[in-house]
Amino acid sequence: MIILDNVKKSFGDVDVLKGLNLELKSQEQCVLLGSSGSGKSTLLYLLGALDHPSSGIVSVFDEVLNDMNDESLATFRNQNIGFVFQFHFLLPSISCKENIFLPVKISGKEVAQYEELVSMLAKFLGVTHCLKKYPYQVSGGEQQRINIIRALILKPKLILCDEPTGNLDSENSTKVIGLLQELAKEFASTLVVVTHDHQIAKSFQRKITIEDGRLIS
Amino acid sequence: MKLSFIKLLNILLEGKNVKIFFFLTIMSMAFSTSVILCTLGIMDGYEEILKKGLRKNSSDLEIVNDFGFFEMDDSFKRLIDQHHISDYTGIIRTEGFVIGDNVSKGVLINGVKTNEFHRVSPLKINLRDEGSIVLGSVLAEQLGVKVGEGVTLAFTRGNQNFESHPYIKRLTVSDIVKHGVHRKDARIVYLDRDYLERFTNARGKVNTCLIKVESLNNDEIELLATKLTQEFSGEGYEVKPYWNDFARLLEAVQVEKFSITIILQLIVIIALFNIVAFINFSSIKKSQEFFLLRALGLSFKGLYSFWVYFILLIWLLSSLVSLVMVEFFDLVILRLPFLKIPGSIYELDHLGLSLSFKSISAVFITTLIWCICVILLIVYREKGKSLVQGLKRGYV
Repeated sequence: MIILDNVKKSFGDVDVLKGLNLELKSQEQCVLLGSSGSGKSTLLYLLGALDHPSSGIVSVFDEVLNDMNDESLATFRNQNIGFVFQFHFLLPSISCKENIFLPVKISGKEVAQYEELVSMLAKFLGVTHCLKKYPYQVSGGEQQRINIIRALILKPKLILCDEPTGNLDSENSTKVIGLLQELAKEFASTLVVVTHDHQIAKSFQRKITIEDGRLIS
Repeated sequence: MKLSFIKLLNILLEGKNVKIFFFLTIMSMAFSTSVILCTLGIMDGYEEILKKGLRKNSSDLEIVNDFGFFEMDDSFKRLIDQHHISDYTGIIRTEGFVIGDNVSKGVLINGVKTNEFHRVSPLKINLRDEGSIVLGSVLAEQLGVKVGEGVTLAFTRGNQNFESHPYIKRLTVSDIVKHGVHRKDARIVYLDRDYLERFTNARGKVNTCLIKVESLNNDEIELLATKLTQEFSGEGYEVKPYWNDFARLLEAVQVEKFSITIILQLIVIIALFNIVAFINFSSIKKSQEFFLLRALGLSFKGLYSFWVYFILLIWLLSSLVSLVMVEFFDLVILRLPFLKIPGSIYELDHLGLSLSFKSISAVFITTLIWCICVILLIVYREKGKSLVQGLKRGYV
């Protein structure tokens, strides 16, 4: 269960979130809609323990994130959250496979335990041939799929996607969203996708709309 | 930090420009450190070479007496034997003039028994017979004489007979020796002790006793000198370490060494600016990578540990490179003729680097302290950065 209780977030004098209340059930899949600057990404970062609210409570899977220090938040992010960023955020100095294994290495777990899962996901997403290549050697769509494998490798309970199809054409966008929904179901994860694209939003049962820092639906 | 240091280092140093900057940062730090090490090395080296030279016409300790001449009788020998000192010799030191090739010079005459002298002193002199004299190298040059040529020596018959005419003797130069200390090379001559004894009315007495002590360092020699002086005190004896005549000068070198080390810290601070500049440059260039790693679960503590190791790596590499640079400077100083120094001013005619473990440790520890200050600066700066803002700024 994810609960946001009267959450406010300000950057200097600018109030981005203005007392937001939200509940998400475990394994729920939803889409966050809103115009640019409405506060969608800020909400996503709060859910993903990347930022602290100015006030209010953020509780994710019974953990109140407000009370956690940097060290605990880092561990929480690593163990429970899978991020799919709009920009692919792959490190250029290491191979795609090493990029995928970054969360495993940060967690201190054995990489070998995850080899099979990576092979399976890479086959499922059609990027097996990219694993040994460097990010600059693969296409934008392939980079995004590598990004998705990295987000899913530790089977997170919450998958957060910040405009994951922003740089893809409509055919690829539909494909990527379909894959994310399928994998979230497979891993019993909660899925939250931020998008502008109403076509993509149609594929989700629950649609949450933010306008000027407040939930309107 | 679970992600290995090497992995993070690879990420940080990715790119030719970053690698060049990293290399130059290490070199500048190494150069600054080596400047301090070389300065200290020259001072330590000066002290070492001077002491080595001073030891050459002496031994480890010298015993003199307030009353001038003394007899090395059984009670004297018993006192020395208590300290398990086996190698010692009595010598007669007096002053005189050497005349050669129309030049005359005031000299310090050392009357020695060569076989005993060679046991206590590292200097090897070749006194062929009673009519021979050994000259210091600078003195021989000033007098314009070579081995086998003759000089005239004039000296008094001792204090009581000072008013009478001096003895004037024609002697053959049997050897020319180099002490390595300008004042000694310009002033000291050696004669046979028995020969000198006859003219100074010493009658079996000496006015200096040279003592060699086995495997003692300078601090221990100084300690033994103080101890022996106390034990000999009733008899008017004074026991001095071999560098005693230059003690003031050596003390001044020590004080100067300390002051210069403090002043030269400025050079290290300048090198530290390079480190800070490198970290700024690389953290801006690599901010997206580091913020991404934090987003994926690398804690601030983990990142901070990386910076600590990274600064320590710079410190370690620059320290090692600085030692190589010091070796290079040492070779340059010894080999290049224009780096010779005027011996009449500095007592030595060349300088060499000699660094004690204490000096090296002091310099490295000081630079490490400065590096730790940089680490604290990084922690202060990085702690204030928002993860989200950093992530956005890196990729926008």
